[in-house]
Amino acid sequence: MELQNQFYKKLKRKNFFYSLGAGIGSYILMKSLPFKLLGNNLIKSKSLNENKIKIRINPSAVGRTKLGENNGRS
Amino acid sequence: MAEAKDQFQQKVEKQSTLNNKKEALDTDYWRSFKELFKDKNLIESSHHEFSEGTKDDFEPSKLSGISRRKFLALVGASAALAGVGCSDYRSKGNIVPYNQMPEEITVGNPTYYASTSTACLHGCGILIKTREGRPIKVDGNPDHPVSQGKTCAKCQASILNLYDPDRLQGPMKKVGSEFVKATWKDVDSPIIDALNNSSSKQIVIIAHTLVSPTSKKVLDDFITKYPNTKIYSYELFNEQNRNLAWKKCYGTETFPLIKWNEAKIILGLETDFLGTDGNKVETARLFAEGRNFHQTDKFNRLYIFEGSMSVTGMNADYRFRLRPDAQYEFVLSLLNELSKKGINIPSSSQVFANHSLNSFAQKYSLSKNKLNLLVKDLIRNQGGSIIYAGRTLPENVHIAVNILNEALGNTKLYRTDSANTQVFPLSSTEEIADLVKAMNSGNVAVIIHYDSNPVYHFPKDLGYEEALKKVSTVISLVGSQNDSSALGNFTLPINHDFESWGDAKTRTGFYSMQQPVIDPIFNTRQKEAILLTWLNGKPVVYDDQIYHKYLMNNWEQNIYPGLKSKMNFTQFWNAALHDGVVIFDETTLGFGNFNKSAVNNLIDETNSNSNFVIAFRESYQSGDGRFLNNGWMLELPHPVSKITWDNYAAISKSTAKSLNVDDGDFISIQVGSRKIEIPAFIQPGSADNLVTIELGFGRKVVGIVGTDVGFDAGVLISQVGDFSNWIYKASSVTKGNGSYKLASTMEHHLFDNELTRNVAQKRKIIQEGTVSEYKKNPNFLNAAKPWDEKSFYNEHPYPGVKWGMVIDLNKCIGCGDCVIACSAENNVPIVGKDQVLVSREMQWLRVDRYYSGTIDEPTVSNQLMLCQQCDNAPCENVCPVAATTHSPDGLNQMIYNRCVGTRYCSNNCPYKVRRFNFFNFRDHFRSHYQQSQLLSLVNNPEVTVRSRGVMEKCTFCIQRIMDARSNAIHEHREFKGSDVKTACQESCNTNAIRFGNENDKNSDIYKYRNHELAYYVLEDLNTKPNVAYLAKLRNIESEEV
Repeated sequence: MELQNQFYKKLKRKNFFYSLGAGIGSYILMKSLPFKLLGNNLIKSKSLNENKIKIRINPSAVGRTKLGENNGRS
Repeated sequence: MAEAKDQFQQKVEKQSTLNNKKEALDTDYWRSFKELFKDKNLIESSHHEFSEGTKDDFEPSKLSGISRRKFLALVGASAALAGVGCSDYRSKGNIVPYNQMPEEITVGNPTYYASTSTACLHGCGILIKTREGRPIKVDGNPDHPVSQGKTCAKCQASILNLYDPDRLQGPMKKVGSEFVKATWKDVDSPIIDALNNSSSKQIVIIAHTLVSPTSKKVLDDFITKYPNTKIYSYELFNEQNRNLAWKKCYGTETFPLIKWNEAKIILGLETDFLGTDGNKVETARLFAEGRNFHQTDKFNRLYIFEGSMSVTGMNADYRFRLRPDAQYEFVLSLLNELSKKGINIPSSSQVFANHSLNSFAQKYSLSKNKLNLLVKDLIRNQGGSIIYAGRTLPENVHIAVNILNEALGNTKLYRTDSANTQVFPLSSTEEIADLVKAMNSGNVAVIIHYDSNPVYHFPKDLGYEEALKKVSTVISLVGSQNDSSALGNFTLPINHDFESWGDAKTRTGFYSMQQPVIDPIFNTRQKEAILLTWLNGKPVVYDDQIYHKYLMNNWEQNIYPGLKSKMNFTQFWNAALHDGVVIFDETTLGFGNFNKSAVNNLIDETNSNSNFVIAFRESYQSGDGRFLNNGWMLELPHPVSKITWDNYAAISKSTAKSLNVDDGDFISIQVGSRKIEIPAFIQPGSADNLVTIELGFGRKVVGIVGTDVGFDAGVLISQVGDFSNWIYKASSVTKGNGSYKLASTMEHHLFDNELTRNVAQKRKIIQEGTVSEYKKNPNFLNAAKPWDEKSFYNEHPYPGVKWGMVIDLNKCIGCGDCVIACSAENNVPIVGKDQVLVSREMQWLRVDRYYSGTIDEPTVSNQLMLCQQCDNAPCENVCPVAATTHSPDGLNQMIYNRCVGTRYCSNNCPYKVRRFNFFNFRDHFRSHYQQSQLLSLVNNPEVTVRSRGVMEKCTFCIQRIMDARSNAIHEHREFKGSDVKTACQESCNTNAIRFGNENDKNSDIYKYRNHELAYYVLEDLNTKPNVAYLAKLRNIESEEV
């Protein structure tokens, strides 16, 4: 009887780990799949290495805050 | 009901069978042959607001049954999946305040940088608008003497090239047959070695037109270090024939500038000076100055002789269709006629004596009356007319035209206060042929493509591509891979204009400055800096200021002292960069006396009897191919044909009939041994047996946008030319195999033809008259108003500012520059050819082009169409969610996040100016091209980026209005209508668009709206539009009306 209980306990634990594994697997899958299915641009953007895109003002350029004639801000 | 439907169907069918010409021409205004000949399919499609597939019938009975349990299970599962899937939505980054605020930036306020555009060779002055350091828009620099605050479409669109994801991000070298990424040191070392070891052979640099004196100095230094260097400069379309003819006639190098604004009579021969021929920004402005309706005595008259309709031809008062190979005969006949009428021809050559204008008119079926009027006009306006030949015409025509202008005293209209300058002359065809010979004989060690693409541009029979294989080191300094760089050993990425230093000298009297707005986004270098590094002999000497210092040094030592400025150099330099232009006194050399003997060798050549002639023109959209990866330009409807995303062979209706082809059918063209197949397009107003093709398409190596766009007709060009380098006799033109879909917008946004047949004429959408009619009766338009304006609604008061626009159809040339300006300002997406084919283009502005008259000799009327911001807006009443409402200052507003996409508003809009996002076009177009983070940087942060399912339309640039209003409040001053300029207005070269406060009685807008020439489109619907049109006046003799 005790052996049977131990067996059921083991089976429960085994099922638990199976479920946990399946759950984690599904979670990881679901995290990335919708982006692929919806055609997100992330795959392309990686090839562009976009994380490195930075816009820096050229310090030697001389700007103006007014457009001149345009928009009456002269 | 069924009976009524049958009757209606019969009526439709009856109408569609009216194919005989007499009945068809009852339509006064038409946009295409299908409309003119009442094509059955077109009539059917005009009954539907939206294209096929977007109006699928909803049949509840056909829906599959679903139980409540299933439904709830699905909802639950969807919610769970969505929750999991979106729980880690990839962040685009955090928005954080500046830790150290750059001095130049005030968050939320734009900063402008003056610079110079190198989108073409004219070097127009520009102002680059930046937000938080990011360039977002290009406008003209008002301080620049040539562009005077205006820009062309290409210049506007050049900002898209800055953020093009297809730009090269670092140097590359070829290993085997593949390019691999490399460091600058990896490429510089072997290149320096190759240069040093080339002493017994040539080093060749191939560039486009050089406009920068300092860039030229770098090349001179390069030649000093490597004396075996030769520089070649070329343009696919150039002014060489004109300039050579000028030199023969007057002895000076370049053709003078013309006072277009003072010309009373303009005679253009195969020229598109309002389109692609010359500096359009300046020419269009000056031309439009002569089209002021309040100065009718100074109103110019434009005669155009051309083979296929151009922008200039569309604006002609008198247009004659004439093949380009007959132009020489025409000028000789005109010389003879003028000689007979007593005009002293300053040439002893009697080559024109055998040519009579009457016989010419008969030979080419031209109206004798109109030709006589031209002769009369030229004689009575001696000294006040100008005759101008197109750049593609041969040298002989230009010489004959010079004689004409000299004989008529028209040289008075040549400017003597300013002239074009040449930093480096273009190479001749013979020089380039010699280069290829040298390459083939192994005498060239290194070739440097200096931001050029000769493999694509040079005539194919020159054999440049083959010869390139015999050069051991081929280096391309380019922004992105092109046909030439793909065949080289090294591809070195160069900075975009907005990342570059420079100067430009295109005219006497001023320099134009170029400054980098931002540091290079990628691992790129300025092309001059690359050469300077090689000159120093060691790759390690490069620093990113190398050319900046060189430029400043050149100015300080060589240019600044000659300008006699009162400022010290640092002050002067900063002022020059601020203004973008340095104006100084510089003597312009005159053009001397006419050399009679130089023209005596004019040959008596008449039109050949060849069956077909092929003429090439520069593309409005892709230029010479440099803009082939620019989606804004490719999607801009061609100003004449309204075709997007392609080039084509324009032919006349009768030529199409003789070839048995229709629109889109392939035709096969052979010139010598060179052959292509290209789709035909029947262009009203084309001369018979003429095929006109625009070059600049069909590049083999191009980015994702330009891939498979158009056809490379350049393969037909020969190094020896024919009539000229751009006009050829065809060996054969025959019907090809199959057909091709051309995406034209000309039949889009049609009304239901049954209800409103000949809508443009009957509903007075286009209203026009003649100058003489207007002089006799200024109120001729109002006299024809039949309706009584009674409204269902109470008048709504607008006590403060009320926005309105006036579009002067006398000045609008239909070029479409405003369309690009609007797209750039308002984040309008590119949709692609497949979507244009189903009428889903998203541009907020469209230029409606109507033909009237006959197919062979049509008259063209252009009309800019945008949201009319109606006071009684039909779109507002039908929106079930009040997503489109009216503002207190008279604007018809769109609330994007309220819109649920019913499209009722678009359905109810009589002007068809609303655009629906059938997709998230940023995601939909070409593998998410517009979704890339880099391209997103071009977006205007003041304008919402719209997504799928949302309706949008012109807002009168509401963001500019709000910005100006906030500035006025901040500065404690009255907010005026003149404080705001819309993007389209700002870009319009001819000042055809006016915008302002309708309530301000002193404003231009008030005066124009109440002018006798003002009218509103479909005003009989009592929509009370706030966009008024000033009726076009044609300067034609009354009997010709």
